[in-house]
Amino acid sequence: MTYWTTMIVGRLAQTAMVAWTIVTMCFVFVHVLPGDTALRIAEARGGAEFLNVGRAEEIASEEGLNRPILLQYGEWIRRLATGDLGVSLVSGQSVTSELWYRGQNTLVLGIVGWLASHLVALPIGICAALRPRGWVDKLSSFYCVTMASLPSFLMGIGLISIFALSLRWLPPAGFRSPEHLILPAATLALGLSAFSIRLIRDTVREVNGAFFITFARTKGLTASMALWQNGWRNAAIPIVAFAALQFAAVVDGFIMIETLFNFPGLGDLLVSSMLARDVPMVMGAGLVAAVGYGLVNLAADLTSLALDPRISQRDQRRATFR
Amino acid sequence: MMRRMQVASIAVLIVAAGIHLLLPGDPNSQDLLRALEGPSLLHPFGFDHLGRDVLLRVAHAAPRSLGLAGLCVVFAYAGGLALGMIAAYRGGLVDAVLMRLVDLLLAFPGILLALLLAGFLGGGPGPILFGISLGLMPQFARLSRATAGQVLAEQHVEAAEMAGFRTTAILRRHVLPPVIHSTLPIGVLSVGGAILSVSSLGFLGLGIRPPTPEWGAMISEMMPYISEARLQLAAPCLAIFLSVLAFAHVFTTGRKKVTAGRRHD
Amino acid sequence: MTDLSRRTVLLGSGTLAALLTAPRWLEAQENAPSSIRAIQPWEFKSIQPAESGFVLNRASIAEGLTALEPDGRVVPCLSQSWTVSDDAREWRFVLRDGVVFHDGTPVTAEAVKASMDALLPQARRLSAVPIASIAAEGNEVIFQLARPFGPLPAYLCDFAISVYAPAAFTADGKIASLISTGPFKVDSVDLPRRLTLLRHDAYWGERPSVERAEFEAVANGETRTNMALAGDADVIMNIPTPSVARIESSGMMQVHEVINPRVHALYPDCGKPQFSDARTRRALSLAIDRTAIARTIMRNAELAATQLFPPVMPDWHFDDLPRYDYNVAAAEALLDKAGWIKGADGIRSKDGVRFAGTIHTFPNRPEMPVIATALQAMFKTVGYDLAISVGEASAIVEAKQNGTLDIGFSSRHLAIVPDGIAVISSEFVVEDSRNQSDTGAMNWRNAEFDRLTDAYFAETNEEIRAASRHRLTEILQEDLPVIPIVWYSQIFAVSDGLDGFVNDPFEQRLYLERLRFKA
Repeated sequence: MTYWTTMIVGRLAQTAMVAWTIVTMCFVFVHVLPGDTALRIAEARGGAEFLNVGRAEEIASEEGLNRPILLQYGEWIRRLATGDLGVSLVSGQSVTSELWYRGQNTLVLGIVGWLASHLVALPIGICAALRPRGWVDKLSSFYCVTMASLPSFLMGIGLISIFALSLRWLPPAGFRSPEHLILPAATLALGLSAFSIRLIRDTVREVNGAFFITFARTKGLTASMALWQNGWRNAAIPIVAFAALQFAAVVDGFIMIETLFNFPGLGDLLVSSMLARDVPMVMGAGLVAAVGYGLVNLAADLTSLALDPRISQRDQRRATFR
Repeated sequence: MMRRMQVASIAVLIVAAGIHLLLPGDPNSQDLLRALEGPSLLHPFGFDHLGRDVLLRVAHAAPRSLGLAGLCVVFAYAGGLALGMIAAYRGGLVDAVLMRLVDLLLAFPGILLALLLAGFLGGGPGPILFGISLGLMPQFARLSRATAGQVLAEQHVEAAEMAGFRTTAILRRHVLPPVIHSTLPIGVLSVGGAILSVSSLGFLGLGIRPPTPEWGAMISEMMPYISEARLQLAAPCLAIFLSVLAFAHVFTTGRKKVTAGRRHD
Repeated sequence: MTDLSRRTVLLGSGTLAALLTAPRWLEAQENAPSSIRAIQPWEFKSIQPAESGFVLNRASIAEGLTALEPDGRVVPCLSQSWTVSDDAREWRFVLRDGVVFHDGTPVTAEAVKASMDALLPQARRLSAVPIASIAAEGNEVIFQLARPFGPLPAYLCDFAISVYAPAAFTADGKIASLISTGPFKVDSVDLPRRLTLLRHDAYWGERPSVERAEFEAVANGETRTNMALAGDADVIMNIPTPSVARIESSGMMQVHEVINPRVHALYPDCGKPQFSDARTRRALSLAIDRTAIARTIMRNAELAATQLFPPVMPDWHFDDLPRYDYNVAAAEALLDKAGWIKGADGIRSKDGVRFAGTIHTFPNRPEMPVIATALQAMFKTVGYDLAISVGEASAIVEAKQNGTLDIGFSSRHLAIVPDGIAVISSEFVVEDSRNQSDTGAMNWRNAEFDRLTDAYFAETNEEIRAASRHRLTEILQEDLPVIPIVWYSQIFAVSDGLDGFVNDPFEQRLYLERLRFKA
């Protein structure tokens, strides 16, 4: 049990470090990039057409953008310590509530997309592995190659034109009801499943060839029975690890998908607030992304541990040797 | 079967890279009166919304799209390898700091970086190159760090160290070759991914400056005309699809070559 | 059994996570047929009228003392009528009786004065009006002006100074909640995209027939097209021109089109050696095939600009002005005469200066980069080498600030203040307190133009005013500090099930209150 706690605490501390660095990077980034911050904020507030320098100067003095950069940074960190992420420079609304709203939308989209991809990928991948060169294997590898070779925006456009415009079964954009979730989640799932099917197939095949499965089969179990009773746990570990890795790819995907579907999520928020130089919002969104990434990785590690107690034993042994 | 696919994919890539040499003409010359004109024998993919020959544009976009993607990977690959090898060789604090840095990059989406830079600098290949390279770098750094770590633990490296070889010499002669062996296939494969990223940025309107032809940008330009100009829209889509597919299959060739090469060692 | 419990834990924590994040749509979601859904392209990033007032007025939430009718007339709104003293310096607006704010409090002269006082400092266009003081007297609001100023009622239509209730303001004069007088009141605000509206039952005018309305911003034109194709909304604003045919044939929505008081125009930096000579500007104008651009890119040949102001602003549009010709030979002759000689690469130069530059434009209006691309090819034929930079709009202002802007390409609403003089003075009269725009004409001065503009504000004789207007537009036409390319048409997609849609060319209001569902 102590191993678990030290490991969790260590990883949380690491996540906090990563988050702090990311946030600092965001801050530096916004200030280092060419272009005038106040002017961008003025544009975001009032639209491109009514833009002028006088307004930008007013904003700069109102929001204290002319203060030394270190002072601004220090104040942000100080406020963060009290749990306050500040207010958006553009909308004047609380950053926390905006992040919460966008964050849960993105989380729901991510969870649904990720689950859907695995609902598709697991059975197909396992079937393909059980019968190498069978028709499921061939068909699925064709599917994987095709999906992996298409940019996600094309998949999204394809889905929109079939299901929203031709058949009119689903809404094409926005997020007002659960139905609005289906197309973006499907776009996400299609892209993800292309990679996970292959991984699942390869992993299951490797495990299937392992001696304990062969041994089980000599006991008279069928191939699938043997795999089910003995193999799934071994096969699951790399799959879980990979699923966590996919998270990073998913963030890229969110930006594209949320833009395409006009979906009010974090990716969309991050891009628009970066373009608007909305410093508190950018830093808040960066914080959420970093913490989310850390937590997903932690969850993956914990799952691996739960699946394979040998990992913790090995780590503990290593620790004592040191 | 597999062999045939590889030959086909290499052929696709050669055609993609070279076809613009066979098709003379300015891909940007426009004739507004022929806007959205359908296909004909001389212009098999018809004309786009500004009356430009779509075949010509797709062909001229190829070296640029592929070249940019390739360059992204080369930069990322070189940077990742250097980072990974230094981390493995130095070990200790340097290793820890560099690898945490790599973790950071993993958490920061590369496409976002490219998007932002492009938004501020008004497009152009620089931001794309920077953003996508930075996004690809971590995986190469991690892979090469792992392989380099294994190699450095082998005895002939220690022997070379004791014989007084300089660091660069050791890294170059003993560490670099196995690291390249183990990472090159992934490198080749990720060109396909880079093509997708480049075209995504182009699609978002932040890729290459107009009127330079680029596949992703061509798709987004033609999207509004989807019902009138299906063929003109399909052409760049097909180009992206085929070239990514081709890189995926050159990869299997690459892997086989590499494993074969290792066996000879 | 231990693995089972672990599995349960995993499953359980997953479910828990999903439950904890149950988003808003799981809460009651209603879609009553008595609700109208309107889509428009501009996100609203704040609730301050100076910044997002265009949305608040368009959504029929806020109103001002005066209002602009779709036919271009400035009419009383919260005021019942107005009178002006002979020297045009004292304006008395009589308030309408029995008007109440959304919170039920009456609209008094004091409340209007307080709202004006709080909002005027942020209202940039109003800084052109020499307001000395505002007073409340009985049911009259009185504006004392420092100088005579004829177009005051037109300036008072401005969305930045719509009237808000005393309870709407915080102590420092910012809007905290949207309490105004319009036919709809705000139910909820989801910045930057969604507003839900409820009928204001005590509205002074005609009561809206629908109970609720939803107002949503969808920035991407392609997405708006898709929504129109799928019939996913009742009114959709700013349909991209190429999509019109598709939407018409899909049969879900009807398309309404009207020419706006808007122009897409080039603003060359007249201080640069390439453009300091009016002949070079005229030559570039001659090189533009406006009809082809209007027909193929805007899909409407009528949109080819013949002068700055489109016919929808009859006071400022003059049919007798010389039209812009498309004549490449004449353009080349002009440039030859001006001393710009074609080099081996087909690009002209003079005294070592290349006839070349960068055009800055932004993709918010999807047709603009396309037009820029078309211009690039046209300018090349006369020997001007145009590079295109597509970025944020603020990049144009920045480039102008640091002097690196060669040509700005922007889209201008010419009737935010429904009197052309506002644009004339703010865009073309340089170094003037009224010059509010940092994207207007660059380094162009014309003494006659400045004098005419100044005199116009105080002039009360309509004949002289008309003559001034004619001369002002004529100067613009000859000297080309701005090179208009195309006008713009507002295209709406409106659901077949709706009656009473009003296509307001001034983009001021959607008139949601006049919409009703067909029986």
